Amino acid sequence: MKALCLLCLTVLASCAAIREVPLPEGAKLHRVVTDDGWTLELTQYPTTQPRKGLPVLIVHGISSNARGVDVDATHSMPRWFTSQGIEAWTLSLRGTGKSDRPGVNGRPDLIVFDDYWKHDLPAAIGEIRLVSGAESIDYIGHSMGGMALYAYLSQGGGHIAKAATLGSPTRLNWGQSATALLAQVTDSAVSRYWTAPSEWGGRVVAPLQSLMPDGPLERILWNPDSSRLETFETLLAWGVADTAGGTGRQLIRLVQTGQFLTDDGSVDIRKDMAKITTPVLVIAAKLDRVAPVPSVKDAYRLIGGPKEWRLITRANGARGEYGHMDMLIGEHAAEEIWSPILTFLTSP
Amino acid sequence: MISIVLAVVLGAHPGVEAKISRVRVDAPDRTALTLYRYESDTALKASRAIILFPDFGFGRSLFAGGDAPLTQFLLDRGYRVYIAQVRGQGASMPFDSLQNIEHLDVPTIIRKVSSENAAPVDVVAHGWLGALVLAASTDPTLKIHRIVAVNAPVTAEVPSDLVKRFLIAGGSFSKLTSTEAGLHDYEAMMALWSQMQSREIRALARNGMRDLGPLLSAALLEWMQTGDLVLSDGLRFSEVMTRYSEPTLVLAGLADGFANPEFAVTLRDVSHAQVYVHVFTRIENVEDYSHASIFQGPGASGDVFGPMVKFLQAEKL
Repeated sequence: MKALCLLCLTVLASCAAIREVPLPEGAKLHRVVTDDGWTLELTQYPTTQPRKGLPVLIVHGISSNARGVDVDATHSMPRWFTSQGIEAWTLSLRGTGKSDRPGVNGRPDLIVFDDYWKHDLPAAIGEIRLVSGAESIDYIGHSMGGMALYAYLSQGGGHIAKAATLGSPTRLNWGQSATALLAQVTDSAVSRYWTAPSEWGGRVVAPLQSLMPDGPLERILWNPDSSRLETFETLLAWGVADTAGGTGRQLIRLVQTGQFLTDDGSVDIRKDMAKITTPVLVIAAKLDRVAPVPSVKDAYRLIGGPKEWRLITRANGARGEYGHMDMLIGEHAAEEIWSPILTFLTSP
Repeated sequence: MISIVLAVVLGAHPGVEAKISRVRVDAPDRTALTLYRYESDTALKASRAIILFPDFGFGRSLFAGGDAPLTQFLLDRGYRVYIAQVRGQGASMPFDSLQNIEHLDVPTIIRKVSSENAAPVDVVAHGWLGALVLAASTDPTLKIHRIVAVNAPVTAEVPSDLVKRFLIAGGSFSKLTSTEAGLHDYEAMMALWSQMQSREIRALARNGMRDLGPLLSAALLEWMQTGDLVLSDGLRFSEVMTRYSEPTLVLAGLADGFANPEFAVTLRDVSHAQVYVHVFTRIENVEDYSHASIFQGPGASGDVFGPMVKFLQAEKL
């Protein structure tokens, strides 16, 4: 019992030691209301540099929040873009960060993937256009943030001039028993109305990572070849959000059948990606085990309009191999990933 | 058309208790090809034969070398094992064209093995040569049971700047592996983030490879850069693959830097065959597996060979 208490105290003390890095001076929090009544957290990172291009909206992946793309001063995509003369915005999708559910009695606590591209993205894009005066904006989506873009654009969403996606899959049926098992468990045991407490889980396991070299999270999410343990711990502590059961259940079809469908199954988003005409830079990391390269390449092949492909690997000049989260927290991510995105977004 | 000119008992290979014979097989244009036949007492009683096609640049040590080679694994499970060497490989005559390999060499070798075995043969097709094997197997006269395609790119693209540089420089493994930087490049292509010991990777790089040579390198690069290949009958590789119908297990290592997994998994999209895909990652496998480590990695026996044989021997798919 004593040992358990000591362990709990150690974990709590370690949790406290991983401090949240405050937003930079000048960052401004906007509250934007969606057409179905949710209030979203949209953060503006104004640039002090001469402007180079359009404002860019950066959207996180599943089980994450806006701080997942802004971990600290040196591992932050929005801060880096502002340093390059681009006004950056981050969004916490509904149910994550400070994007709250509406206080209407009796509303079912259900969030599905479709909500992000049908309601959250239009609201965020509209607010950025309003504040900046820009007719269109640029977009960067990590993982599910890129999938939301694919769905949004394929179903006629507009006002995106150019976009980049990082590790965004459009199918995940690669015969892997672990992902198949996860899908099966989700399918049979997870309610659409349940929310997985991954935010709390991230805080608890963050300080334990140093005790587990080559542990499960390292294998799945990041690569010490490219990122530092301390950065990953901070990401776990502050960049992880609860996971909506409805979203998980909608997306398990990618694993089970390779289909990327709307929640009601009526629209085949993979098929409709041929309608996308917005230029998209599709980025994959060689050792991304969450969105393996074939999953990301699948999306690239489906996009109908102008597109570019970039595989991050030593064999293409990177200094190390990247995993799924290294594209956000890698020590050289700014130079090896974000800089090519900037070039793509600002090229004529 | 096919004649056995030479049959030599080479004796036991270290670690493989089998009788090994080298057989010369002549292609229709009289190009001498080589088949290595591995037989054990168990295999002699077996009714099933399997042909292993190693990718360009690799010798038979890819399948027969190392601590737990695929040949031994298959022998132990009752197979008679053949390792094929098409033109440009091992003891076969020099390379002249990819088209001749697809049109002449692969069918010749499969027919030769079929002539020695009553039942249709199983095939393991590796890498870029493996892709040609897949195309050749659309010939309905070939008696094939099932195919395992290992990192065999059905959708050709240049894998990376490194591979492009390597091929433009003439595809010389001997030159590449003469420096530390070159060995790192070899590892990036063939054994990226592998659990193989560094000395094992170096041994394979220095002793298990054969230079591709300028002609083959140029042909491969053109295939990758144009995304397609005109075969000897005038049809494109991509057209031929739409006719592909063999039951196939596609195995792809996430870490493959020479024939990337994203090029291999498309078989189920381009063909109407019964295709099963498995992409290896370290989440549930010993390693992510690359072009060479998928056969020589310490976990290959359990992760790769086991599912391979399970697929080949399944009564019903």
